[in-house]
Amino acid sequence: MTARAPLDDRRGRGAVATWAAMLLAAAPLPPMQDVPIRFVAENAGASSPMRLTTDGLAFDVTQWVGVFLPLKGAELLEIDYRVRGIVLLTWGSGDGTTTPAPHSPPWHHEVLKQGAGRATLDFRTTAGWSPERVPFLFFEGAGDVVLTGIRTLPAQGGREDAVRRRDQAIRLAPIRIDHTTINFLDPPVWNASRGIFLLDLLGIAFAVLAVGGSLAWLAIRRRWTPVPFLAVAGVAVALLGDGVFLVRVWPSLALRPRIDAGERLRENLHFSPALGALTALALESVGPDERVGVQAGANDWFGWETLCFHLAPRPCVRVLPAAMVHEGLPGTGRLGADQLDVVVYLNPGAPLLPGFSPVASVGAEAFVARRR
Amino acid sequence: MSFLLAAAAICASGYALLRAIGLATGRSSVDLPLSWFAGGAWVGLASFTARGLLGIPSGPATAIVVLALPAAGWAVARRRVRGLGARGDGGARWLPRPAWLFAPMAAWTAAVAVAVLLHGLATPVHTDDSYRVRALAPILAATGAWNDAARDAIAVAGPVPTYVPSLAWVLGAGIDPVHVSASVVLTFLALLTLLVALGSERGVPEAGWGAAFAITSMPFFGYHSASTYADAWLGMYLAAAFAFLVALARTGAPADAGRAMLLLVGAALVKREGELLVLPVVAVLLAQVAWRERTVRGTLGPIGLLLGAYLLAVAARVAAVGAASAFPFLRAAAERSVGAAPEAAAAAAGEVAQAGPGAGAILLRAMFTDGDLGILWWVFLASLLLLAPRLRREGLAWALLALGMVLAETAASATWLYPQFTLDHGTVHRSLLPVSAAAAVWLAWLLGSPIAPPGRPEAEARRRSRKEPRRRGG
Repeated sequence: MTARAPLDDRRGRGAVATWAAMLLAAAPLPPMQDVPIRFVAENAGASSPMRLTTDGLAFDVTQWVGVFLPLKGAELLEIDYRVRGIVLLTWGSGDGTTTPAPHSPPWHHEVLKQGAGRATLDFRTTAGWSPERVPFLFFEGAGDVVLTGIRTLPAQGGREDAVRRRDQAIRLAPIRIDHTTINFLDPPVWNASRGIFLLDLLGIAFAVLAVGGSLAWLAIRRRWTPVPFLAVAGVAVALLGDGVFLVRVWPSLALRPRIDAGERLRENLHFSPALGALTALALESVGPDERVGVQAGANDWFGWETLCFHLAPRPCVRVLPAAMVHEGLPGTGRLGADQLDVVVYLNPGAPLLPGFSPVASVGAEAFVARRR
Repeated sequence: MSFLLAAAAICASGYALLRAIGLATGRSSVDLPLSWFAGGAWVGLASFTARGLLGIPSGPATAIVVLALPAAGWAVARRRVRGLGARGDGGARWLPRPAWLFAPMAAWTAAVAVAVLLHGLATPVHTDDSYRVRALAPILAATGAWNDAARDAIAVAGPVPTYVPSLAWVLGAGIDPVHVSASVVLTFLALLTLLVALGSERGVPEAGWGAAFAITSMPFFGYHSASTYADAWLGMYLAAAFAFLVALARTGAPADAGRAMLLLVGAALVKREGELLVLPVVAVLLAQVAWRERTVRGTLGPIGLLLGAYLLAVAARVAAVGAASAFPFLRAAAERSVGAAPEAAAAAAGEVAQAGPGAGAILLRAMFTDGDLGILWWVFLASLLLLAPRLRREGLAWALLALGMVLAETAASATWLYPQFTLDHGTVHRSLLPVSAAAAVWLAWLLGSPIAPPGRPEAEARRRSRKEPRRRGG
């Protein structure tokens, strides 16, 4: 059994933010303990076959793979992995029988870098976590994954201690950009178990400082001058709120300038890195006057719309198997299958249109094809 | 690079427009950001009117004519039009006091500005919808599409979010959707610059920096400013208009009324709801100007001419998509008024009765508890209560009335017209961005002005001389 400190290898800023959050929110963490991979392999529940190899627990990701780990009540996990391809990891918790909705807010997700890497997963800040639940990992994309090591914190104290640690973790939990972030940010919570929000506390603190200060000044100096108290108290609590927001949002900010559209798509389409890579590949592969059809899954509106949007102004339509004429985004026109020059194939669960063959790919089920 | 060139052309066109109608301030620190706002409004209005009302196709020639017209107008007008006057009340002061309070505020404002700039330009244009009408409309405009679906998309996006990002593409640059977020980012930076510069130019840098700080302390506003959504964009135009509304309260300068009206016309051109959102503010501004007209004549006419631009945009929208589709909110309001609730709203109302807080409670939580808007509404409410007697003295009652009406519109939309989008948290937080940005500006001028009373330095000097011993030497 070895002891190591939690470490976020994903990028430097992520590590800084993780450490800042830990320093600010919680007492130093005790050492983590290795979990035997064989134990995990024998007791995990997975949606796809997994292989126990000499390197670790291996599995292929074509569209998605869900895994329940037999580590009831786990609060923090550190996983070592080796990845080929493009894989997005989502984590949460469940009862071990029903698959949780992986993309529900707050969506905890991280792109696993190619090659060997390590990720630190905090389950306490996921939706509905409790000491009775087991960790749930959800891998999406195109590639293969080997889990080479898993470490967890040993359980400490009783249920009340676990709830207290969860409250501390949620207080400065990172904001992760997801499908609903454009509609609202995850609210800053001071005490989740009691339902106390940070802004309520700051608001009350502001009111006490501003009104109390004004009244005290009135009592002492016989002058009603609330403006300085309103201004100073307002700025002070606003800066406190800003500081909390900065700590929470920092890991999600993309601050490296990216001039090239393909680079932006490859690095920062966080919702779906495989789709970002395929879209960038299509941008680079398709000529400016070529006509594009996208073959995607029956329910995958996000994929084909993203592709057609970024390929504009090239004529681009969604290819439906039974349709005679295929439609694109609103206002962009229609195309028949015989008019297509290029097909972008994105896990449609159907064979590639006849007459086309792959010319560039990001995975077995995600590629760009041209007419032969 | 192509975006920067297009932005420079828009600024130049906007500056010429300001000069042509006598609304330039004569201070470059104010005129430069104001030119971006004015140029964007002009490009949106002229392009949309040309396409929707006159049937002139979009293209390089149309774009060049649109950009050049203000310069031609300036050349003609410089000899013939007196305008509404150039400068404000003078007495510029650039450093806010006290420094210990404003230094961290300025640092935070600058940090948010940099973060929005970098994040906005480094992320692809992606949203929960995979693409966004606001981002697709410029592409449709650049490709000359004007079929039913294209007209709908452009009408929903609004002329400014459609024609400003697409200008470079129309003039020959390759289409890159990042121009959409770049336009929003640049408007955000222009707003911060305008607020700080205007406050300083009017001798109250505390109000200017306070407004910029209040806006950058709304986390959700910052996030939206780095996106392709237009809610914050609408808020930026509205906030800029409110900056001149509150400045008007201090100076009574007719030019400030004109600038406010110009920016309100710009706000009306952002999103489909822009026209209705700014309508009460326009009404209040007209009432305010009419009230002042009793003593200071000659303002109402030019303001009325600017109002014509608003009506032109309305006419172009109706011509593009028809009266029924131009203002779906009015149709929905009529249906609600006669009891025939839209289906979704009725279904949502049923859901509310079964579980969870109502739309009103969610709206209040969005303002005070959820943190998207920071501490703004707490400070606003407390300041309103504690400083109520000052409102009339500071001349801010008119702007407060306008703000109250915009807030009432927002609340009515969230709780009565479209409660389903409040109950599912779909749009309630976004819908609060414009009114919150305007509230931030109003609040900053309320709190910023009395901290450092403007003007009459000689009176201050006299007071000091009576109370303090004269310093000698050193």
